[in-house]
Amino acid sequence: MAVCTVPALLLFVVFFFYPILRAFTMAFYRWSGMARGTEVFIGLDNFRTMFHDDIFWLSFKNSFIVMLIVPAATVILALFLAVLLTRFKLREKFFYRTVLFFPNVLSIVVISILWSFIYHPTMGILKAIFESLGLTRLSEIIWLGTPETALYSVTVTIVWAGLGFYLILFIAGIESIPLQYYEASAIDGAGHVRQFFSVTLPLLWEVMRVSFVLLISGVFYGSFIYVQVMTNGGPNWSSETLVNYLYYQAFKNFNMGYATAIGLVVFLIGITLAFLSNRLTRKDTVEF
Amino acid sequence: MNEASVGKKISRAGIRMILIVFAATVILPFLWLIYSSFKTSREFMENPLNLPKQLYFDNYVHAWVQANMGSYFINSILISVVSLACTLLISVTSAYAITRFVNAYTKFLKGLYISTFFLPGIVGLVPLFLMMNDMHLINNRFGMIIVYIALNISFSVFVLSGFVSNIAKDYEEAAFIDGASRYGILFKVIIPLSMPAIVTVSVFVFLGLWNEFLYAYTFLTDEAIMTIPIGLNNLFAVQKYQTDWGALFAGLVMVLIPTLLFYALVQKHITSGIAAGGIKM
Repeated sequence: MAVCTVPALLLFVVFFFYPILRAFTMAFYRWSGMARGTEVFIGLDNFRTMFHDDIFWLSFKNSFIVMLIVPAATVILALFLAVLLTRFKLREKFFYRTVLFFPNVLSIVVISILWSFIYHPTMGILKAIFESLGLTRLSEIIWLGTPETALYSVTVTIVWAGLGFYLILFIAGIESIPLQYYEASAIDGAGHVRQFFSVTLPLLWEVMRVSFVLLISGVFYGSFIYVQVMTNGGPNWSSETLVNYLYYQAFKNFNMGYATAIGLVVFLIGITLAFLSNRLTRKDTVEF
Repeated sequence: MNEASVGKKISRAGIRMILIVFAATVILPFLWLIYSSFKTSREFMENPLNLPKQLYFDNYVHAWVQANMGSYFINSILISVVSLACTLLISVTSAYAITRFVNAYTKFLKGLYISTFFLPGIVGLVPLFLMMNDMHLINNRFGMIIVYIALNISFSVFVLSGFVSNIAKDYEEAAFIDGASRYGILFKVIIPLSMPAIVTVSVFVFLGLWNEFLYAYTFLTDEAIMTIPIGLNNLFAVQKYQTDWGALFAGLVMVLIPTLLFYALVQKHITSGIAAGGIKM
């Protein structure tokens, strides 16, 4: 039987694990990647370059902005909607859950192209809606083409696309809380707001914690496609994130060694974030 | 009717309003996309909210023929189905070995797959690209399939071995006494009993493969073998200059409709899979 596990192990090691290990040596070379044997060992030079690279730092900052906004906005909105759908016992719960989850099964490319048209300066529905409401100032904004708004516009799309997944998690979480807790607190005179803070929030904490951890690492790596399709990092690098910059250095600039070095930094940040978000949110959870 | 119940009715109406607004942000863009896909190029220049005056089906012909959507579909189906089938076969075998034949080697396997579960593949993207280039696997469907299998092994083994370990051993013992070989047990006992987990894994792996962007974007640059996401992105980039928006919208709808049908079909598996996974975590 053990023999049968070998193909899986081989594929996994050669095409997944080994390339990750290889990144740890490649980051110390300068290499265009084109001809074999043209790589030059340069020690820590790639990391020194990175330290003085303004676009690297801009991407770094943008990655963090996205990582702050998306998890916070997604969790708050999903929690709000989940509470409305479960605590007010709406019969249409199933409908809303199904509709709001739908973007999660769509290709991110389809979502990104669709939103590029929503934001489009001439054909966009957002412009048309603002115009019909008489909000001319808002209708004149070129959402994806202005350095001040490009990154935030992409962020809105990411929240829209991911919301339904966390809505399902939170609905399941709230529904697993025994009803007696709500009944007991109602007898003590607690209203919906009080119940939310004293029953729902503490008992849902574990699910929310997992969501934060998933969202932070998911957004860190996953914002790549949205940015690549919607703005390609522009205008003037204003919406570039770390993974997009890695990609640019590797496959547009053919600076494979430098790109791998950025990859290692991405890796370290990713691990640190996963560890921190797990640690900081740890709390004695209530068993029920 | 007393005052309290009137208040309740009003607050429920308010809640419904909020929910309708959120649902509308999902439904309206897709409706707009679908009806706009029947507009002529001239109609695209007018108010974007206008309905098309007639159904201009030529957009779909352009998308399918000139814009290669047909070949993107074939590539996507071929690559996703073959990758999924191979992933399932080797993962269920590994899951069976890991849970039922515990020794130093299978313990090592289990440890390897679990500990690398959260490793981001992007870190190894550049070395992988250079390796694939050396092996002449760039712009090669077979190369793409191999990478996709490798990417999905740890997730599939992880979920399937969790499920297999909960199957009572009695069935296997009975089959063994009846003279079944280990492979007979795998195919006649383990796989049929693991069907719920296999279906859930299939749905998630298939969706991931069907929508995969990063690796396909890197490894498939030849238009003839592009998958749907890469093809659409390519079409989007090309139409910025050619501005045949109708063909692009028609292409998006062509991708949207099967996804919608697939979603209607497997919606329950997805919801219960996420809910179960979330609560266990």
